Amino acid sequence: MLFSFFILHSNFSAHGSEVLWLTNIPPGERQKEITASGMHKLSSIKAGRGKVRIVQWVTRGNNVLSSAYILNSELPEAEIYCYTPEGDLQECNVDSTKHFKELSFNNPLEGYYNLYLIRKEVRNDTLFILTAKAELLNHSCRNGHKDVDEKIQSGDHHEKIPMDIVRKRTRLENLHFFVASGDRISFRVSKSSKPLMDASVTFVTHQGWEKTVKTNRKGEAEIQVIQDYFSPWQDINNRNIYNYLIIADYTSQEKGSFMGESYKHIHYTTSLSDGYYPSKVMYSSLSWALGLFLLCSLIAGGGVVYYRNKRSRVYREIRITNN
Amino acid sequence: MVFQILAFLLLIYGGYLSIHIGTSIPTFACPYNQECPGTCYLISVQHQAHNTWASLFGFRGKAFLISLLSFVLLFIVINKAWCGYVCPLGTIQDWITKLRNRMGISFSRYDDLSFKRLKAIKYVLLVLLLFIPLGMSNSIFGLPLFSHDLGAPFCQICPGRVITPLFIGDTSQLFIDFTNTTTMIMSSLGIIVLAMFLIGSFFKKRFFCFFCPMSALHYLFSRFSMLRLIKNGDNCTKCGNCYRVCDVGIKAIAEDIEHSYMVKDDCMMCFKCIEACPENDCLKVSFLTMPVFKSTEEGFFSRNLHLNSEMQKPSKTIIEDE
Repeated sequence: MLFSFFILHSNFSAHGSEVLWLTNIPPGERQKEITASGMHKLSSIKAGRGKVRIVQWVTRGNNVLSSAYILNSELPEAEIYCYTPEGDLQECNVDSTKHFKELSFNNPLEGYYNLYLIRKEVRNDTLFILTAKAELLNHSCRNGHKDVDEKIQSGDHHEKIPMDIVRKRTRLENLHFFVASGDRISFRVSKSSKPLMDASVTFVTHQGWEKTVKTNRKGEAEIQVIQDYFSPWQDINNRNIYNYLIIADYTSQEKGSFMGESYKHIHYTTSLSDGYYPSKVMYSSLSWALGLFLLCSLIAGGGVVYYRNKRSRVYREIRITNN
Repeated sequence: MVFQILAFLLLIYGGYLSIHIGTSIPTFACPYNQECPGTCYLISVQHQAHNTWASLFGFRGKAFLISLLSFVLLFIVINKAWCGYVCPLGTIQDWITKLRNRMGISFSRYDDLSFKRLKAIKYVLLVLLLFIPLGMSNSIFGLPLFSHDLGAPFCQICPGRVITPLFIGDTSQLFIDFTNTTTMIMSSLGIIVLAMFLIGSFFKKRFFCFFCPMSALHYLFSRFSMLRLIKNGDNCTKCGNCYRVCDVGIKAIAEDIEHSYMVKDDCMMCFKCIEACPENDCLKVSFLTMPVFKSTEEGFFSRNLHLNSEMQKPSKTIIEDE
C-alpha cells in the first residue's frame, strides 16, 4: 500500500498535477539501435546516407530514475510540435510500430530544436495542460562554428505553447556548452508570450534531490545544480551525462470549456529536461597547479643561474711586456 | 611594435567586438580564451585528425583539406611574419625580453650542437599532435585506442591555453585535473611547460618559438609565400651583425652566401637582421617580388645607436658557440 502510494505520488508535481517529460535515454529494448549524434550525444536513428533523425521518448513521473516510459497506445490526443532553430514549425513523427511512444524529427540545421508534447484534459473543474519540452542542441564541429550567438538562442515563445519554459543562455555559452554540477542556471517561464510571475519552478537532479523556487517579475528563476552523489574520485566518469528535470507549475482562474467539459481553473505544468556533466572543477586543483608552477619555476630559474655562475670566468688582466 | 600590439589586442579581446576571423588562423589564437576572435589552426587540425580512416578518406577528408587550404591561403600572405608580428605568445615573450633588458640581465644562446638537436623538437611535436588524435579513433601499429582524455593533446600542454585567458581575467585553465591518470599527467605537463615558457623566455629570446609546432607547420609552406626574405650573398661581408641581433640565433643568416631565400624553419621574420645589416641591398624583404624593406648603409647608421645597445647585450658570463 505504502509502495503504491509512493509510485503514484512520484508521478505528480509539487502542486499535485501529473508530470510528463521528454527524455533522451532510450528504453532498454531500443538501446542497441540508437546511436549518439553530434556534440551533444542526442539519441538518433539513421535516416539515409549521412542523415539521422533525432529521437525522444515520453515518460511520466517527477523523478529521473523512476519515471516510466509512456506506451505508444497512451496519449493519442496529445499535440506535438517541433520548432527548428530558425523558429519554423516542422514535421515530427510518432512511430506507431514501437512499443513505447517515440518522437522523431529531422535535424538538418545547427542550433536548438524545441520539441513539445502537450496534453489537455479536464478533471474536477480544472483544465490540466501538461507540456513536456526538450531543447535539443544540434551541433557537429565539422559544420564549423560560425554565428554561434544566433545558433544558441532559445527562440521566441511559440503561440501554440500554452506555458513555455526556456533555459536562459549564459554570456559565455557556445555550441559546446553543457550544464555542469555547481553551475547556476536560470529559467524563464512565459505564458501567452508574457513573463509569468509567481510560477513554481521545481528542479530535480538525477538522483532525485529537488528544490522549488518562484519566478520573479521577469518570469525568471535561478537554481544551482547541486552535486548529490559522491563516488570515490578514481571511479568518477567525467564523460557521463546525467539528467535534470525542471517542472514549472501555475494555476490561473480562467473559466471555459474544453471538449464539451466546462472548467473553472487552468493548471499549467511544463517540464523541461536536459543533461548535465559532473562538475568540471570538482577534481581540479588550482593550488596544486600553482604549487607545481612555483616549484618548476624555481628549479628552472635556479638551474639557469647556477649554470651561468658555473661557466663564468673570473676576469684576469694579462699584460704582455717586451721582456 | 604598434602592429604587434594591435594584433595582440585583436587576438585576445577581439571577441568583445564580435569579430570572427575563422578556424584556420596560422598563429596562436586560443579558443580557451573565450574572447578570442578565431581559432588557431593547430586545434582545428587536431580535432579533424580525431576521425576514423574511413571518415578521413570520405567526406570528412574534404573538410580537412578545406581547412588546410584556408590555413595555407592565410599563411602565404605574410609567411612566418605571423610569428614575428601577430602571435600573442611571441608578443608576450618580447615583453618578457624587455623586462630582462631593463633588469640588466644578459640573455643566453644555444651552442651549435644544441641548436641543431633542439630544433627537431618542434617536428616531433607536430607529428605527435597528429598521431595522437588519429590513435584515438584508429588502432595504429596494433596499439589499443588512445584515451579520449588525450583530445587536442598539444593544446593541453600549450602555454597559450593558460596564459591567454588570464588577459581577460579568466584563471579557469590554471588547474591540475585529478579526474584520472591521463588528465593528471597532461594537466601537470601543461603547468610544467607554462613554467618553462616563462622562465625560458626570460633568459632566452623567443624561447618557446624554437619548439613551436606551428613554426614547423609554417615551414612546410614557407617557400610558396608572397612575403620573402632574400639575401644577396655577393654584397655580404659576413660581419655577423644579422646573427647577433637574431632573437632565435640563426647562424645561417650570416654565413650562408650561396642561397638567396633566407627564411629558415626557426625564422619568425622579425626583420631585425635587415635593420642590423650595414651593406646596401644585402638583405631585403619582398612581397610578390616588390621590395618592401631592404638593408642600406644609410639606414644602418641612422639606427646605429639602438643596434649598438642591442648587440652589446649578449652575456658576459656565458661562453657562446662552444
